Amino acid sequence: MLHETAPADSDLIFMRKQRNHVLGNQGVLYYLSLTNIVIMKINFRWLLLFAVIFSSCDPRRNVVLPQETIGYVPIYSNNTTAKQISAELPRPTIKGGKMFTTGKFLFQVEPDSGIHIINYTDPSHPQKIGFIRSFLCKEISFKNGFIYTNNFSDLVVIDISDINHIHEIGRVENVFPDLALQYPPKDQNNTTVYFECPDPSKGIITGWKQQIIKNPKCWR
Amino acid sequence: MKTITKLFLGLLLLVLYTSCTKESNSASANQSSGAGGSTARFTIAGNYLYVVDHTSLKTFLISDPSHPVSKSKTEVGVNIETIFPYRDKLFIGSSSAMYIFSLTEPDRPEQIGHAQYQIHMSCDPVVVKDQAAYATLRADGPCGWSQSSLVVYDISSFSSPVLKTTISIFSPYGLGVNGNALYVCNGEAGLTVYDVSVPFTPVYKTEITGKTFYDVIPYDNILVCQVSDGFALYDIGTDPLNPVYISNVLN
Repeated sequence: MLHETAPADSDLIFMRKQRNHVLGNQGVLYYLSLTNIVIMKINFRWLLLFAVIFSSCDPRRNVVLPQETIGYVPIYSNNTTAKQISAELPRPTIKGGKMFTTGKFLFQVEPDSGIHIINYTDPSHPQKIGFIRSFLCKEISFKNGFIYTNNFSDLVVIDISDINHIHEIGRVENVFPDLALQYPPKDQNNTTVYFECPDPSKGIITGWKQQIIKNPKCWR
Repeated sequence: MKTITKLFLGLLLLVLYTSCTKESNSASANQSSGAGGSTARFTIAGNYLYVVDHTSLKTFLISDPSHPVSKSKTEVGVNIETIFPYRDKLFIGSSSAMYIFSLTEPDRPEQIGHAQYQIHMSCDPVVVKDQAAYATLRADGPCGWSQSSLVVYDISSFSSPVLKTTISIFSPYGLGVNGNALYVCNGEAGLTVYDVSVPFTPVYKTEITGKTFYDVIPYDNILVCQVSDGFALYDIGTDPLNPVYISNVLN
């Protein structure tokens, strides 16, 4: 089953279809990266290593993809406001993401939603003072009053030097395709989630809806 | 005369301040205004923003923040996870290696060395202090085919890092180093503190449990911790080896 030499991409896709039950999460990432035309050089030896390791011990190796199951379907939008950066009121943290501190302010990513702004000048009473909405936000850095983050696959620069007038001042489009890869949510038990593979030509994915799907090709 | 004294005092304070921050916070050595965590993919050094994606290092000139300019893209490897600035170097963590880039030409970072890990893992942040680089390697297989670990490299020669120590760890995530203290996040198992007075030989000191720790930033005597549902602050000014809980913001 395993090729001895590195096959062409089409062979890899075929191989993934044959072996996706043993590749674990890598299978999805791999599939998405190909479908989203993300240039992502997969080291074939590395893939092989995973394939060999997982096939030798993955308890799920006899699982076949369901023909029909409850899964997720992307909700697409061509709404350009999804690419708007906006200042909002403080909101609850759902999942604590990556952080950047200035010693006075702490910026914490709310993965895929935006950035919490926290004032901890008094460390014993840190206060959330605002939230910056940036869809698909995952990363953050900061210098001289400017936040550098991602909005979808774009680099955006946000001026926060005046906390009452937070606004976008710079953007470079489509420089981080990796950061715009989207997956449906997983439940707390970490069980396998099946979904319809995203199609970037249909627009921006703004959410997922659960429904019965047939022959799912993507899963995580 | 008074003005001159004030000016002098001001300058003195400035010098003291800058030397202090350099000493106590390696993460910000290249950043005039703060520090990010060890799991970051974005970092700023000088007038440049450096970003790693899965395979490459991208450089943006940000001297005019309203017009970031893409300057270069360098292929690094596969499964790149993290970037960490230290002095005039960038340390890039991947699932299979640690790469060292020189910023002599900041718009075109050049790889000057790397250390290949012995086995492919995932989630591999690296932090640096002086001649020691600390990285966590998290085995992410479903059947425990390998042991997760904390590894210490001697980087006195950037071109050929030497593996000095490997310590088995349950499930490490981000990490941070500050003075003689090394903080390693262990996810649900908590946060472990090591004494790195002898840089290549971390000695276990203590453990903080009860939260799910993913990353830390030691900054200005406070350990800022990324936990699963928000963040928590610990005082490390009194004794860096014994972080004392201050507060948290969850939800």
